[in-house]
Amino acid sequence: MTGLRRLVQATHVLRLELPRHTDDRPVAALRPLATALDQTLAIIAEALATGTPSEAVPPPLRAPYSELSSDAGGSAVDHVLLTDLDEIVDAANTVADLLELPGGEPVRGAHGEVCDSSAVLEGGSPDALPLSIVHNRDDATREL
Amino acid sequence: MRPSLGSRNAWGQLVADLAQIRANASLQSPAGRHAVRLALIVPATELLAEHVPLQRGYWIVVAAAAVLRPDFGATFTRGAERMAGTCVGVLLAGLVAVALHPTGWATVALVGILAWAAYSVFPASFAAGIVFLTGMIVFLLDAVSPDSLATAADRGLDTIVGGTIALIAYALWPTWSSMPARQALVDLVDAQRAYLRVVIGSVRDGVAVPEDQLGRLARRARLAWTNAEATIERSLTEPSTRRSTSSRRAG
Repeated sequence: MTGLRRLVQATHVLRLELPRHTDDRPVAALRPLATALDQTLAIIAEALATGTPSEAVPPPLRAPYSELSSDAGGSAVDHVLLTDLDEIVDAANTVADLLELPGGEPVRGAHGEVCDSSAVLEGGSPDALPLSIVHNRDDATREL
Repeated sequence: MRPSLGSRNAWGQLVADLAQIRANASLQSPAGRHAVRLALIVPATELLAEHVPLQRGYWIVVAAAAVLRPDFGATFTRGAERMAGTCVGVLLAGLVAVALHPTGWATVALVGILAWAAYSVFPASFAAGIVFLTGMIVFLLDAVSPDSLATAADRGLDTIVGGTIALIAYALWPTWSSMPARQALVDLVDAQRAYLRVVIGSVRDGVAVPEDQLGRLARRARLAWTNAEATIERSLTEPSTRRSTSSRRAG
């Protein structure tokens, strides 16, 4: 859920930034990354649905991202967009890595260092989580 | 004549309700399984209550129905809390009955105090609320059955019998969240994918997407997130061996 939460939040941020990016300048260089992200999420959904690691290999996300960021110097790609996309790419890679999808890419830590996403699991195993969920708060009037 | 907005909303709500009823009328649905469990256990405990020599055997039925919940965590956590709280409440009521022998207005005041205490602490602690609620019920029945000690004992015994039956019934035919949790994660990724595709597509093409379309996709993603989070939290209350790999990793 942590990886998915990052993906959800980064998408919302990107949406809020849309007015900055949609005035009149298409960003054609974004096409390979957009396609790769879509394919990766489709493979993640399939792996979750079947409950087994997918045979399909997710396309690399870092390579199209790097191409896009190297284009940034001479095009309309601004740093806010790149930052949002970096977060989305890393979140998608984290989820893919946790699902043990083939062809995994390195996942960045909080400060950009490459890390093993399984450490996230080991450090915060759900088994160690407190059962803090409040279920079906009883309507006390029904207790009688 | 075209239907008005109100009638269209009502029609849409009716269609959605019927779809939900249809979806729940299945043994694959946690709600459907819960309904079948209740439909078997409530009459069974009623039969038991009629054939065992217990005063107020109907409390067995009430306890069984109250302890049974659609999911594991709520059934076993609340069931244990209810039974423990009732036992403590029975002891409390017994001690008060023996020590103070409340009658008349004293009983009325006691019921008022216990009611206040019960409904004040329910939001903080279900078990503590049940302690006071048990005392309240015991002294509330003082008007029709002055033997408070016997009433307290009946309440305790019947709750333990009914609660135990409910826990055994759930253990024999449990509902695990692993499948719903996995499906909720799939729905979340699908919703997020649709949302992201439109947002990135908008940047890529430099074309603004209608706000209502974005809003619809964002709402779908939010709903999927809420569902996934709730389902996985529920799954985490279950024994670790029963969780799906997805939900074990999802934490």
